[in-house]
Amino acid sequence: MSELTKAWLLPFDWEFVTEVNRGLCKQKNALHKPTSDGHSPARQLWEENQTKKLKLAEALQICQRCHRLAPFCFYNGNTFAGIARDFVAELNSLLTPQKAYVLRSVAGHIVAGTATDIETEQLDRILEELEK
Amino acid sequence: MTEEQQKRLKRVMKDALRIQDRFAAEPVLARTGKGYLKSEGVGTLQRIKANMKKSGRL
Repeated sequence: MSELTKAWLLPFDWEFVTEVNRGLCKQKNALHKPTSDGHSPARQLWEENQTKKLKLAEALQICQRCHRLAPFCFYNGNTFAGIARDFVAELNSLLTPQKAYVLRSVAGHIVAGTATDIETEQLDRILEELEK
Repeated sequence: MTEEQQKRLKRVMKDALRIQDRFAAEPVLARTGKGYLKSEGVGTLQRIKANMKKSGRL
């Protein structure tokens, strides 16, 4: 199995996700509170996938879906983008600094829901190169 | 939380705080279905290229 398919989310249990959001809200004096509609489905989606072996693109999609479900009142975007940017950094040693930067940036854009077709192609190209 | 998790949390928090101002605080993606992210500009990439040139890798 390629090293691009692994349990990317394993180091980040839901308690970890919650702590990241708590810290981000504290920095901005924003309310850290679970939402009534998004918290439960996001937590379930996260925990169902936390131990699963996923392709990198699939793991990024889970982060984006959780961002979209908005489990917390504020700062869902950089909570999940921060986590995604951390796990894609595991590939830094296999990439040039420029490509590592592009991968980190595209990962953030995918989670934010703002990735363009060009960026998605960039991600595909980097992943293809890594699989060779 | 284990020591390893604490280290990871510190690292993730540092990066997430660095990019915090590019994100809207409110759940824009959930409400509108469209994401929001303020552009970072080309500064970071220029810094990486400059460092690579300096070290002869570009």
